[in-house]
Amino acid sequence: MNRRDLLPSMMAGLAAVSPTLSAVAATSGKPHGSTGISEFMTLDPVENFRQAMRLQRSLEDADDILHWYHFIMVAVPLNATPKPVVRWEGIEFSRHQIMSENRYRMHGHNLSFPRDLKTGKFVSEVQNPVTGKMVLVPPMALTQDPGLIRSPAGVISLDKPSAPPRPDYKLLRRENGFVKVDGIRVPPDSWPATFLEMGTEAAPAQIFDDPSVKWLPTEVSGAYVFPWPAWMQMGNTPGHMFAAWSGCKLRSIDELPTEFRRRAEKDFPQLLSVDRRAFERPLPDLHTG
Amino acid sequence: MLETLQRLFSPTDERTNYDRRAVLAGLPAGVVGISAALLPTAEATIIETDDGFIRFADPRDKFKALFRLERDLRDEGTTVSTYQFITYALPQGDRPQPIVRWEGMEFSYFRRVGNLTWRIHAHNVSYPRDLHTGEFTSRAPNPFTGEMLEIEPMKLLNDPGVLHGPQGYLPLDAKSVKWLDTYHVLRTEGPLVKSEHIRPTPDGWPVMFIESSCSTVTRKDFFDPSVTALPYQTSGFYVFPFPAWMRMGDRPGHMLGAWSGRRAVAGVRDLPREFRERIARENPELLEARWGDLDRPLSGVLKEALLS
Repeated sequence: MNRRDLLPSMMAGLAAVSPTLSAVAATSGKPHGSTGISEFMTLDPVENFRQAMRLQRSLEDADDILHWYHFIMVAVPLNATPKPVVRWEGIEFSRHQIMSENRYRMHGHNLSFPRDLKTGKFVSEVQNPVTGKMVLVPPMALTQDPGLIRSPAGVISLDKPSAPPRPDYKLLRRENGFVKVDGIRVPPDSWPATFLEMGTEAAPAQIFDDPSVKWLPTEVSGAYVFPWPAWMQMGNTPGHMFAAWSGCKLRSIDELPTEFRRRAEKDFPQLLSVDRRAFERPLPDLHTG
Repeated sequence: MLETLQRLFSPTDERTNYDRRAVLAGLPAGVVGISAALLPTAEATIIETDDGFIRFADPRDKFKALFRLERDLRDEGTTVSTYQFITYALPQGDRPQPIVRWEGMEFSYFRRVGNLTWRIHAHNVSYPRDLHTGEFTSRAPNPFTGEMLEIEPMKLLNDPGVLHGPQGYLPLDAKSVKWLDTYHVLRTEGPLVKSEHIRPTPDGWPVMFIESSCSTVTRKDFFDPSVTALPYQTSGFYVFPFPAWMRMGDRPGHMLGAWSGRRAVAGVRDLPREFRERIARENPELLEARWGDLDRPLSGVLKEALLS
């Protein structure tokens, strides 16, 4: 089942607030008796993990998971007005494999190309709105992620496999026609202090409620905070960057937009598949948690 | 063409065999060989290109698309949105940490006061919820100071109001006619249209402030000119200084809030039950539009702006 097959259901989730209802309410001047649904889902830790995994990835024992998105980076200098810098279009492409019940190993990468804020065209340089300088912005190919282990106990980053799992935040809730998971990714201690990633992934409730569907189509939005990248040439200026994304989960690279795929095939063809050799690396000192 | 689009993206339609590119471009297979399509709606010409971005031949039509997404193109109307958001503290040099979840609503009421210009007033109410249980709460630990914080409901009732038109925003307390431009991009994602909007900081607001959102609507609604107020799902963020209740003293840094929500299409009746019951109990007057705000006379500066 791919995203295109599920489009009618995605639409139904969004149309849970239907324009027909809007039109009727507007013309009659009388509000309807309906009350919106917003409920937190009370699940035990294992089920919470499984349903979050199903929303964010899939419950298959082994699966390639592809997210595609646009995001805008904003410069946040200390005690100054934040300013948007550049738009990106990108993918996160990863694979998970089950190790034991409810315990998965994951490896993946990200690839993003910069686009002009106003025109949306691919660019290779932008104006730093804080310094006023033109700066070169290279494509972002993030291929050094060490991988991780996810389980109900939390996350083990494989750059420190012997460390105990770090609990992460995942709260599931129903909101009208959607089921949403709010997640906060806890970075390893070895990462820069100024780092945070949070997001919300939403699937149509009618598909979520069918337990036979292991891969759910989701709309994703979120944000992350990170230190100044070198290309911003910010020197010792205090502050950081912030980026907010919006996108979706796709079933395969065949669903990528033509322009993005064409460029990825030309410049980074190896990143249109997940490097499975990472799974061959042994983990002799992996924490048992 | 419009009928085709509506059929293609109707939630009740059977599965179709259109190829992915056709779905992305919003065009039937066979028409996708052209690099751009002109899609007429009732009053606008929209240029939709292969890269997914939607462009408008006339900037006034772009504004109308924005206003229809965020408010309502009728001469007078109200918009209620409901959302949940999590606030984070980002002290300079420290690992950012989540502090508290909120559930809130924005209730705006507006009237057309000129050609394509609306006067908007609004109020916001948000109640704190526990990060982990989701229950209403009035306390949360500050992970940086170790202090237990007392957190009051957030009621934003003193917004001075704003004019919104194709030139941008003009706050009603402006001392000169200086419209604030905004960043607004529309693009397609399969059966959806996404609207990315970064709003400016008016004079007198905190220096460290920015607000940005991405709202999602169906193509079916977007290309149906009879829908004056588009039902949307929305996500976004805002950056703001440490509030007093965080008790951060002079520590450098700021807060960040990230939200996810939707338009309450049927107005306050469409608010989540628990939230609606609480506000009905504590501040029932905030479940009504405060139309009296729109009766306050405009300043000379604002009158001048409407004439220009």
